[in-house]
Amino acid sequence: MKLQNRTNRRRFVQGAAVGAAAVGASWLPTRTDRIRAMQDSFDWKQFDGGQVRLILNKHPYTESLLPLVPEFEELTGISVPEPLILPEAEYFQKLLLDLSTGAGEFDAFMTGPYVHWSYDSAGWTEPLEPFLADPNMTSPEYDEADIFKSLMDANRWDLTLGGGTGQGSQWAIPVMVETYVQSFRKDLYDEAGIEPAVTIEQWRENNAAVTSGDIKGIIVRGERGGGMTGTGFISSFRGYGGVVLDEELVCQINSAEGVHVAEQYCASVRESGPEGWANVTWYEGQESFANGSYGQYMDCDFFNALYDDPDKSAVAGQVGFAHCPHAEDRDPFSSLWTWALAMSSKAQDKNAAWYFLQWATMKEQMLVATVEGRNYNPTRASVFDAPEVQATMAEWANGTYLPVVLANLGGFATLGWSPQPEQTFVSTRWDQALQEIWAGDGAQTALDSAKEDIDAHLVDTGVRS
Amino acid sequence: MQAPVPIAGSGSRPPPSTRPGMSRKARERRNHALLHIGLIIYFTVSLMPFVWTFLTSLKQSRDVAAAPLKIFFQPTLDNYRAVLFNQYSDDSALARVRVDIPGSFMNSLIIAGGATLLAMLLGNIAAFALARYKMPEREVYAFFFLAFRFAPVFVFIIPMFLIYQEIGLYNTHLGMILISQVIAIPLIVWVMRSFYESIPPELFDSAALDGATRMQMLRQIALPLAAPGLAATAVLAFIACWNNFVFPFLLGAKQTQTITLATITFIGYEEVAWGMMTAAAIVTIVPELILAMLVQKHIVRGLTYGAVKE
Repeated sequence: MKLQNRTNRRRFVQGAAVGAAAVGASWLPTRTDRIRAMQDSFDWKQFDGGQVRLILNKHPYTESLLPLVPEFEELTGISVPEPLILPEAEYFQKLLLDLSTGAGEFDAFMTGPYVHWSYDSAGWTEPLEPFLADPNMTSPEYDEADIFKSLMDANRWDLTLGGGTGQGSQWAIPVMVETYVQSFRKDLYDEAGIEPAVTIEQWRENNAAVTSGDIKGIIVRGERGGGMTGTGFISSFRGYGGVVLDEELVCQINSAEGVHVAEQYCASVRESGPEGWANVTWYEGQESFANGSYGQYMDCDFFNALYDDPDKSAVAGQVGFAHCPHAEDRDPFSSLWTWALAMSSKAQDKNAAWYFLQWATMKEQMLVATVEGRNYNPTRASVFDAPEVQATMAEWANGTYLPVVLANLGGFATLGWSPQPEQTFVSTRWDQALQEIWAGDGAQTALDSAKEDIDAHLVDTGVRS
Repeated sequence: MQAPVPIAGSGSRPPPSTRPGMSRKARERRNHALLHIGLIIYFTVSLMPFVWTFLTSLKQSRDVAAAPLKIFFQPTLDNYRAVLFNQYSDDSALARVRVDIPGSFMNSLIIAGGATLLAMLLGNIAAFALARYKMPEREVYAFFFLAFRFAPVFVFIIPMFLIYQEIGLYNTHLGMILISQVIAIPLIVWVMRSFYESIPPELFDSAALDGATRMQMLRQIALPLAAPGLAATAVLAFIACWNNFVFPFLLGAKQTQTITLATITFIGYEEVAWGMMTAAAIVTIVPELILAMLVQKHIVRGLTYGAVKE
């Protein structure tokens, strides 16, 4: 009965949020209004007859953007053939093949900082700041300053290995940002009389305290190469003061902080986590938490859109958010990832491609993407602050979503990795070390070995001497 | 002379035929029952993934991810409605990015069907030549065909990608049919070769005396005699081409997207649409299943036909 009441309350809260979003959506200008308003202030027909070929990741942003594409075609006269859309793993393989062979099949694509570092240094991406700075190419209404500076900076890099982010060329424009949090079952935590952890030791204790019967305390990504170290783990590692590569690009994952966090993290997963952890993908974690099998999933903040959806989740209305564990004497830390739009340096028609990038990242489109397409978290301040967006996010995670995510975006969240083109090797080798620790190897031994391999690889590939 | 009496605990037992309490018929029945139980267990285990896939295709999102596992649930045909008729519920993000399963299905039919026809034509000629005619380095040629199967696909896929881009075969049905020969021809050559070798050479000698050309021998003698093998090989080649993922993924795009590729696009950040994905998987196996059932007797006969030489 009590559960029924809770469910009803959750449904009401969800309904209210959806209703607020719907009301918000009704305030959005119509398609014709949008086009007319945009045509008044800028020559959008300058490249009439052009074409932009897209490859996009299967993502809420893509899903929200596609229905708007006919507006772009009407506004500019630039045609957009049906884009190729693939899930993440296949998407990056296909994109890499196109960029690395110079085939030039796609003019614009989705990417993010850690990935496009290797594209940027290889010359596969087109710098965007010349377009942004040119009043003939960029509408006066574009308002670049409205995009969170930290997120623009995350996609800006001067190609200096190990540093230089926030400087140099703008390689991509962010359209979505995710930070990392402890998503926990508030009802289970209340029942156990515990608060979300601040330190990694408390985190381990909490996970053990919630583990009971069919419910386990924690699930985190465990698949090697699947972002395993890149979300919650690196956030805690950095929250203890660890750095992956120092200024000389020497690997430091086996530092005292690194060993400590890895030991506690892997021990907790072994004690209170899934049995086949080494195969857990991001979506298995997401689904398993949403079906009520785990007390916590430390991963992306925006996954909450699923957790609080009563039609798809068994834990709607029971979730709370907290920052990833960190040292008591340090601020919380969250790594971040932005999906961003970039242009291929082999683009057939760079002007038309820029027009698409510009249009797709303008306030109007970003607002529609967020309100109608549930593209959270938005990267423009105006969209983030929009009443309908705030109404939705304010309800999430029992009201804890917004404060935690805002604090992350307000300063706790920054790039967790140092910029260099061998990022995939570094993260994957670190993943392997964590799997070894989880399987019973000593943390110091496993991380020492990983450090040696990473250092050797960075030397072999010329990233450092 | 009195037969020795077994001593309890001595370890000596009467031979099975003289064991008291179980007749030969009863033992046969018992063995038969055990065999059946074993087969039932084997088939249950083998069929479980298919049953699981089918049941998942009838579930709603929440039932798919439910814990503990839901054995009993309210079945829905929504997933099939979505994949067969592109009818997605309006609140679904998939309604915006429709995964065009019917279109992809047609692409698969064109590519796998076209590739099988072409490979049967070319592969049979090669197989017949390798089986019936002495030529220098014959085994080297035969191995050459097999070598395509040894080579990891990534050894040649990147050069092929560049060549396809250059000559305009990228993302075309013809391009997909041609690259699928890499899968189909070795299979056809090696399977059909053994069929042609098992046909008595006297038949060909007589035909030669009557003035038949090599193509006539193939068309009028070899092919009719190897019909069961042809059916079996064609089905196997079709299945291999139908299931291929890498070629349409790397050498194709939206216009040539096959059903194997389209099926994975149900993975999204907002949710993995397992129900629709499994419904698409069920749709995917239907043509293979129908084909296999139609030529089932030929497959069994065909695959054992050339095994024993007279």
